[in-house]
Amino acid sequence: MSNAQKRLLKEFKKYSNPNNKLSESIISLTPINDNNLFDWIAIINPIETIYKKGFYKLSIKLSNTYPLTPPIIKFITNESQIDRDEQITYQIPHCNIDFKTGEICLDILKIDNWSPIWTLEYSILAIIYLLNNQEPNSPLNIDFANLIKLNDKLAINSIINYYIK
Amino acid sequence: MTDDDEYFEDFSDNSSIELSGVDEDVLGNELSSVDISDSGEYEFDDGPGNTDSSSEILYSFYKSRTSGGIPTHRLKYRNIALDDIQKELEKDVKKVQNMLQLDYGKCLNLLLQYSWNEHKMLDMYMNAPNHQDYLLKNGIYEAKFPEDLSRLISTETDENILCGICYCGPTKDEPMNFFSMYGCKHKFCTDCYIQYLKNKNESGSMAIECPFADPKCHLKITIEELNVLSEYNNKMEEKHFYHKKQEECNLLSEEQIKQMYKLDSDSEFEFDEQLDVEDDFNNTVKTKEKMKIDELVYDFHTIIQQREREEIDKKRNRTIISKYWYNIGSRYCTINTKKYKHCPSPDCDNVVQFIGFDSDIVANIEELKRLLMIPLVRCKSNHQFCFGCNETAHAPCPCKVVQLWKIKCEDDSETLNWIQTNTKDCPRCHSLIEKNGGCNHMTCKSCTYNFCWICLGDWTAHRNNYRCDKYVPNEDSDVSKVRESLEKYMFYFNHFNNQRISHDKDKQILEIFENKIKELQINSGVSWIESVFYKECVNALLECRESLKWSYAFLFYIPNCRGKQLIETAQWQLSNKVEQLSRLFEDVEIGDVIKKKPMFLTIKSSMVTAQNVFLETCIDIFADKHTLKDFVQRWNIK
Repeated sequence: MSNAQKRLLKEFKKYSNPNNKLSESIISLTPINDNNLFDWIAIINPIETIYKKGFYKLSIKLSNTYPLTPPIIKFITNESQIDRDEQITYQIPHCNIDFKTGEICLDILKIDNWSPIWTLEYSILAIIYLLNNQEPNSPLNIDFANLIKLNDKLAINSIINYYIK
Repeated sequence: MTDDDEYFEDFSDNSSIELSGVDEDVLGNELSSVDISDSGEYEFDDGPGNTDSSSEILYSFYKSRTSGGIPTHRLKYRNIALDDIQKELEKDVKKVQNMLQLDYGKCLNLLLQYSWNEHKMLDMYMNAPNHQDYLLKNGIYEAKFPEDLSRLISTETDENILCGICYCGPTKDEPMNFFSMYGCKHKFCTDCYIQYLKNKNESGSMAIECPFADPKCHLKITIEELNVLSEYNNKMEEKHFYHKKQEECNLLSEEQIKQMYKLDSDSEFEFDEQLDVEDDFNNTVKTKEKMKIDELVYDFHTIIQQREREEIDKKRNRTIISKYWYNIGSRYCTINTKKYKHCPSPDCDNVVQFIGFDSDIVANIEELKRLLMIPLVRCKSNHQFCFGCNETAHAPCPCKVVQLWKIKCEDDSETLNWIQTNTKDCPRCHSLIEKNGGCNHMTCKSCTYNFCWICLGDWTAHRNNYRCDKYVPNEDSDVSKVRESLEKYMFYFNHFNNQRISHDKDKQILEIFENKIKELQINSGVSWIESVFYKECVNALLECRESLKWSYAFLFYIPNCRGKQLIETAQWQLSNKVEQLSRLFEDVEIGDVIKKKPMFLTIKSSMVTAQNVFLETCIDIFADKHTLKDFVQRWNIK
């Protein structure tokens, strides 16, 4: 078993232990199937943010060099009709998240700033933190970044809620 | 500090060899003070004797003056491998170390932080209100290292400790080794730490930070600490290696042997039978080995090159330290492009170090470029390139002209696309002909017409007066000036392109040739060393083709003057020799190669002479101030 697998197995045990509560914002954090520890799915409900009404799905892809290299995390935005879950919101307007692909621009998820002591849970929490702390100066979603810059709270909230089911 | 002390501080730069001969009683005190400052440091082997004695100073041109008496302003340079830069840098670090009285690795980290800008670094350090804060801000813990840094690795049995990377912890039965940097208490197991460092090393980072990040620990690892881990890693790998070896070498049990030879476990070992089996076995091994040897001989040259490259790679990646220094050296070269240049050839990471010029007139590369000289250099693996613009060798064209020519070709290539096609019609029967060899003497396969590839004229007319390379302006026609300049451009571009294609085709032919030579070696037992001369010829030929190619771009920009005729003559002579050698390569029977060795070498040496004469003539053209001025003004070269 490789080091990455060992570590992921430990994390998996930790997250599936009922005594060990995950943060309230994280609804679930599990591998897609039990045979492959390198592909995870997380569902979040960021209750302490402006996105609190929505449920979002994240895909987490890991490489064999994890935890020395960061996981690749994306918001799922283009799930096929069959797999679609009515509960989940697949559109997230956020100035550091690509609206189409769900790509996230977060410095700690880049190889230079990543630290191997961070876990998957920590990464997800960092993304939730990003939801409320938008960085309009390096945007992926330029239209939304303009709204953030103008600090038009009404518009921001109504756009977010427009997409939430 | 007394004068004496200072003297010995300086002395400590050199290794202790220097001091070993001195009477210890007299110097005892001073020596011990030196020892303290040096203790626990990374060890160097920069004895005064072995500084770059292997690489001699080389020049960009073979003569300091042309036969016309023009100074060539040669560039002085030296070939170094990336690893050699380490020694130079170590000296810099030592200098800073003497000033700041910090540990060696800390000075190195400071210098890395400021991209080796020593003055800026010292300035910031001296002006900082609090040295300790300043150092901490740069990821350095001020306190001196203890003498024995290996204590940073500790063996733990406490079950409460957990490595933050692999999430493993020691148990009482299975202790684990942990490492933490001096000055921060973040412990991780040594395996993870080493993996972490290797990973960062691979991506080329330097002054790697502690992996702890909650909150971020900005302490940077020093070379001394890296050394501790590197040595630990080496020991572990060695151990691992021996274990593996031991497992492999374990004596086979009788059962296993019987199984190997497919003997029934009941049958007794009969002498004859055993011998037969062994013979069979030996035979197959022998044929296999012979095949292997054949293969080895066949690709001898490529294998040697590959092996050399692998060895260098291996040497570099052997330890964490060597890779780390490689990264530092590599970065240093990219920062100091004025002094160091990477060889632009693919797969080559030799470095050329700029030393100076052999003329007082030129102070830097820019001035040399302004004088339209070409600083061509050769790296350790004999790749020729231009120090001024990092292009492949483009003599006789000055760097600026190369730029102009490239832009021009890009602009016009769209409209003149047809020029680039590799095929031409046979002038007599109009069948399509692709040039597949270097020589310009073509024989049409369908009508056996002999013609010249460049002018498509009858070859017999060329026999004594092969002057196809000369462009004669068409004076009779009264075409407009624009038309004429376009024609002129097309003429030179055509020739340029022809040479380029010839160069590529030659390369292909010579590769096939090389394979044949290898076959010859196997069949007739000619030694590799004996036949290696052709390699020199091949390289010289390709270089001359390159010169010829650029000469057309050069001639396009040269105004009509007396010098131009001289250049054309010299070019014609060179081109004759090139064609001659190219022809020889094409025609020679592979069995006769060794016999014709003197012929190859004669033509080659006359070709090289012609090349030198040609380049000299080209340099000479700017001897006339007016020509130079005209040239610079006309093409707006700054």
